[in-house]
Formats: sequence, C-alpha cells, structure tokens
Amino acid sequence: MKTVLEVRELTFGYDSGQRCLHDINFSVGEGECVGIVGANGAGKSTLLWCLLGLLKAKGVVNVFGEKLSKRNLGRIGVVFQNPEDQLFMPTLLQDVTLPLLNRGATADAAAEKAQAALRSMGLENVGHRPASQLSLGERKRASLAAALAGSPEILFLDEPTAELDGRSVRQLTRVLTDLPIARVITSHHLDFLRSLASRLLVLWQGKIIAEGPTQQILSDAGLLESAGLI
Amino acid sequence: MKSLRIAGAVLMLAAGGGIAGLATPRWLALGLLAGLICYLAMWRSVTRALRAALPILVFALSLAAIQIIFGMPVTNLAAKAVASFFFLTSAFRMYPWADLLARVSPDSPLFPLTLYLLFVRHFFFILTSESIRLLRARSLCITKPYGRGSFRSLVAALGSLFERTLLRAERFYAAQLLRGFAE
Repeated sequence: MKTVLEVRELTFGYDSGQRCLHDINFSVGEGECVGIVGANGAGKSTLLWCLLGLLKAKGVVNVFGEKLSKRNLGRIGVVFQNPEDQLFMPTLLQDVTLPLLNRGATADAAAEKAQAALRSMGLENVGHRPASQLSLGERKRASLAAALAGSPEILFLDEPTAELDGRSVRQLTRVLTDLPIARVITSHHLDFLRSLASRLLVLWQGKIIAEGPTQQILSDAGLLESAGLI
Repeated sequence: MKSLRIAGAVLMLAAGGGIAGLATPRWLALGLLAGLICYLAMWRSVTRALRAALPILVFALSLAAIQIIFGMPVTNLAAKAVASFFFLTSAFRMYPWADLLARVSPDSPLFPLTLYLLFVRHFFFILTSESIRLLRARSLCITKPYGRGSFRSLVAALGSLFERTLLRAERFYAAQLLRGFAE
C-alpha cells in the first residue's frame, strides 16, 4: 500500500514551554481510514493543525512523499470541527464552488463539481441557501462537500461528530465509509470510529500510547480507561 | 430600490474609509454622529445595536483612557475607529451581498475586493454573535446589572470575548488558507 502521509518524530510545544506533542510517529496508506482517539486536551486537534502546517512543529510531516507546500495543498481536504469556520458565502453552492474557482477551474466546471459534491451529500435542494440557515448536521455535510469538491486524495476531519445527533452521525458515517480516499479522523466518539476506521492511534497527554487495528484497541478496556476514553 | 441600497452601501463604505482622513474635531464629531444615525437606523432594536457595538466602544474608551492616563499625545484614533465601525457595519447590513457576488466575475479585478468584504462581514458576524452570547451568559450570572461585582464580571466577559474572537478568527483564517486562498 502506497504511503500518503508519513509523520516522524513530530514534537510541538507552545512558546510558554508547555509541551503538547511528544515524538509522534505514524503513517497512513492510500485509501486507509485512520482514527486518532484521545480524551479532551490529549492533543488531537493540535496534532491535526501540525499535520496541516498551521502550527510549526519539529519533526517530519510528508504528504505524498514530500513536505506539505502550496503545491500539494490542493490534494488535501480538511473538515474543521466548526462548519462556520469554513462556510461564509451567501449560498452553499458558492461556498463549495469558490475554492475550485480559486484554484483555476472554469465557472462551468466548478459549478458542475460543486453540484455533484452537494448531491453526494444529499444537499442538492439546499444549495441556494446560506449555511447559517441549515441544521448543524447539514452544515457538517456541507463542509464535507466543500472539502470533497476539490477531489482530494487525503481527507482530514477534526471531531466530525461533535454536537451531532444520532441520525446525523449515521448519515456522516455512511458518507465517509463510501469514500475511497485516505482519511484521518480525530474523535473521541468510539462507536463512530468502530464502524469507520481500520486502525486507531490512542493519544494521551501528547503521546501515542497505543496503535493497532480498531477492534483490538476498542476491546482493551484497560487501555481505553487509562486514556480517559471510558 | 436595489440601486438606492447599492448607492447607500457604497456611500457608507466610502464614508467608513474616508473618516480616517478627517483631522478637525468638528468634522470628526459630525462624522461620528452621522455614523451613529446610520448604524441605529439599520437595527430594529436600539438596545441590540448598542450591545453589538459594545466591544468597539470599550476598545475606543480603553485606548483614549490609556493615552490620557500615561500622558501620551491624545489622538482621535478612538473616535475614528468607532465612526468607521458605524459606517462599515451599516454598509454590510444594507447591501444584498449575494447579488454583488453573483454579478462580479471571478476574473474581475473586483473579485478579491468582494471576497475581502465577505471575509470582513463574516468576521463582524463572529464578533457580534460572540458578544451577544457572552453578554447573555453574563446577564444570567449576575443578580443586578449594576452594582457590586457587575463591573468585574463585565471586564472578565469582555476579556474572554477578545480571546474567543481571536481564536475564531484564527480558525477561520486557517480554514480559508487550506481552501486555497493563499495560493
């Protein structure tokens, strides 16, 4: 399996001297779905921000065999925890279209791709409405559509199930299961990851304390308890 | 009607930008008054309008107080900031932005400016929603709006507001960066 994301000896600390991530090592293969689990404050979101180059960390983060740069940024899709951070245009369709236009697509091609992305999320009927008028579940799927419209080869999702009801979680799970691309998901929603991720990394106080197949990790009650997950 | 709204919004945007060039206190006071009238006219409730303007008013008052207390030259920056806020928020509330965006082609030199205005509008939306949420939370915690502890709780709420809006702005910036807006 070809490696799409490789992380070696990643360490990050804030200016105050507080160390948040220590010696993180892992890789993600093509089409693989990897979950990063950890209690609140374990460093999941910080790790994601470091992987995306939004925080400058020590160590190596290679995406598609090279350092993350503007050149390969277009091959990455990101879904933030709060959809309002991503969606701001007067209509949802424009929100999905805009990054495509910005990356040089023609207006027709961008509109076609955006419509297809919205359709795949079951949002084709709300494309003319602003994101602020949608339910949280719809907004989450809309930000996923915006990320997928650019045909990314790897998708990062930060706490995708946060504040979602059961039905919205099931809808999101269905959508994410069918995706053929590599996915890195941070969450502490274990049931959600059980049905989705093939491999889990357990983060505790900025360190990976366990890594392995999802079923194996989730059946280890002692480990989950020590990581603050149950 | 739409043309009038467009003209009004453009006029307010120009006034918001032009206020920075005013030097005489009399003209600045007039600008401030005109800005306040426009601003209040855009809201249905004066209380809500003033609540939404509270962070900028506190910022301006703090700035003026610091200049006076520490013996620094007292500039009219605070008044200009408030007047610009009044004009710019009024312009953002008045104009049908969806129409503007639909009219401006992505190849047009105006497109980056339109996007920038949308970013600013979204940030105002964040600032306003966070202010209203925090002030509502504060009003649920205190027994009396004025009196012992209320000033301290207001200061704490405003401090927290700046922190939260900064965090939200940072996340918004990061999200747009990843969507290719820095390319």
